[in-house]
Amino acid sequence: MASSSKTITVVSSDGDEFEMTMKAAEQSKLITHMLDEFGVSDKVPLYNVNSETMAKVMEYCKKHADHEAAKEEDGGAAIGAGGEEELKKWDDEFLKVENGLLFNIILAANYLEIKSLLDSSCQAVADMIKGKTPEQIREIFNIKNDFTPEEEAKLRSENEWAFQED
Amino acid sequence: MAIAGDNLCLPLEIIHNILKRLLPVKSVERIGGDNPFLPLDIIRNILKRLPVKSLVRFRAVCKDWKKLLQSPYFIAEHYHHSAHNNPLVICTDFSRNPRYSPLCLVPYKTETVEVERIPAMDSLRNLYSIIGSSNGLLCVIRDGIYNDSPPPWLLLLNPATREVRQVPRSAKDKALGWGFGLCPVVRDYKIVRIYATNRPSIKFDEDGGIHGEVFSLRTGSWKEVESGALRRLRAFPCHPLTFNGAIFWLGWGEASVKIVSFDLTMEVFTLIPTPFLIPLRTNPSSQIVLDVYENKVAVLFQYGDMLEPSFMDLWVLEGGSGACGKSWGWTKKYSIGPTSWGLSPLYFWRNEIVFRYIHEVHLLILTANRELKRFNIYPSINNVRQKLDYVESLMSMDGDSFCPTLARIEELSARE
Repeated sequence: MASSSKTITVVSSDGDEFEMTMKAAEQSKLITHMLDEFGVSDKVPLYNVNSETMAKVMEYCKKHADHEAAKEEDGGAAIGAGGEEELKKWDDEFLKVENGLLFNIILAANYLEIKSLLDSSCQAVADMIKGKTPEQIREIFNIKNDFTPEEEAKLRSENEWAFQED
Repeated sequence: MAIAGDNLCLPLEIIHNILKRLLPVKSVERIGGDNPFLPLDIIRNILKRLPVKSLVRFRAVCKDWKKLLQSPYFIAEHYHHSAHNNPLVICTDFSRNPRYSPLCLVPYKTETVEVERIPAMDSLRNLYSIIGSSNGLLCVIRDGIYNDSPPPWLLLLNPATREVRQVPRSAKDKALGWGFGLCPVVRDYKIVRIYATNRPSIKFDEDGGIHGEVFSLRTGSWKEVESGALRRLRAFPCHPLTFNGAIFWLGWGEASVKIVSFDLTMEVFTLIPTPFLIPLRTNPSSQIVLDVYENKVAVLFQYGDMLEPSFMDLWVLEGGSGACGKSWGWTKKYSIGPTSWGLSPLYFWRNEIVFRYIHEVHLLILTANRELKRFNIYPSINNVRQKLDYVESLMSMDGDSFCPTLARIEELSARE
């Protein structure tokens, strides 16, 4: 069992260093495995994550580590009934960033294997794109329209109801 | 996925790889547009959370997305997410006037109920009944009863994608019972029809001429199944229950009511005796509720004379459909009573019993702490007559034979 006062250092693709507690690091399966492999004294290189994204991920891991620690103390009394809901609200606010950063957070959560962050951030994108048109989707995900105008018209007419407002 | 641009035709990952060696690492993620490129498995993780209407629309985004959204793997992933996070119940109203009174979709998990209509069903104009709901599909029937009534049809439909398929009617005698379900092993949807070739005789030791046949979506045809077990039964008075790879009915015959199960994989009928004996009445279904309780098939048996307080016992069936010697047994969960006269149990709602009470317009529900409250689904449904578990899904009925869609339904309804 690692003591919570121990910290590790991770290095972003920009070369910046970030410190995180062991408890926060445990939020990421990848970091946990890397520590098992390389030990704590080394700096963990995370060259797939830039500094802007790393700062956000650090914030998330710290918040969730603190929440878990509070749950373990007092047998959960410190958190209380509303605690999980509060955390969810914090997550929702935390993810209110522009799309570029949100996508980078998803990629980082995927790479670092932080399941709860991956689920929340994917859900945030899903909620955001739910009502959008195909054109808007292409813009957001930078996708080329490879249908011919005839093909696209056919798809629309076959499922006209799906293209109408609720 | 191609990059939007005239000359670049290399996949993005290769571009990343080249540029990583030339440019500062930071800007690689922004290549090719404003937002970073998300790989397909992340796109799947996002899309599986979306409602079917959005996904049908997103088929028009690009060819890769259309292929993904119609792949069986993604459809299964989406279904599991939908079933886990947003299970629904389709409710039909008690006071259902055939001319209006839509079907409603009710979320099963949440307390504050948002009730939605099902536009695809509205066009059927309420002249039908739902045989069953299974893994995203509904089986719907309209029987022609009299010579001048609208022609009968049997449909499979996915209300979420509005895909419809008409099922051929076998040219056989009047149906006594129907069932619908998915065979989990081979992933084939099946419709079961129980019918009688003779006029059923009162004498129970005679062969009632009851047979069963099953329609498979994969083969697209009907076939007879071994129905020896049904020989001495006469009526199947309740809605069928599809659960755990089998369909269950109450079968009335001889001196008691039996549970009839049809195993969707083995395609066999099995009779399971009920754990109680009841005196034969003209309407046994009013005394027995067949439903799911705490994730098991259960029967609620009400006994006592009509004019006196009644009692109710709840039994659950341990084990499966009973097919091919699979063992089963009954466990009594609890007893209720004496209750006042005029209370008839209808079904379970989140493991609580819903009743009709003779002196009340509204239905009642017996909560876990034995309180009898009014059963209301805000805002508009006061009397839920039939309820079916339902999950919104992209399940398709085999691309070759599906007919688009609403126009077809309207065409069928218009033939009257």
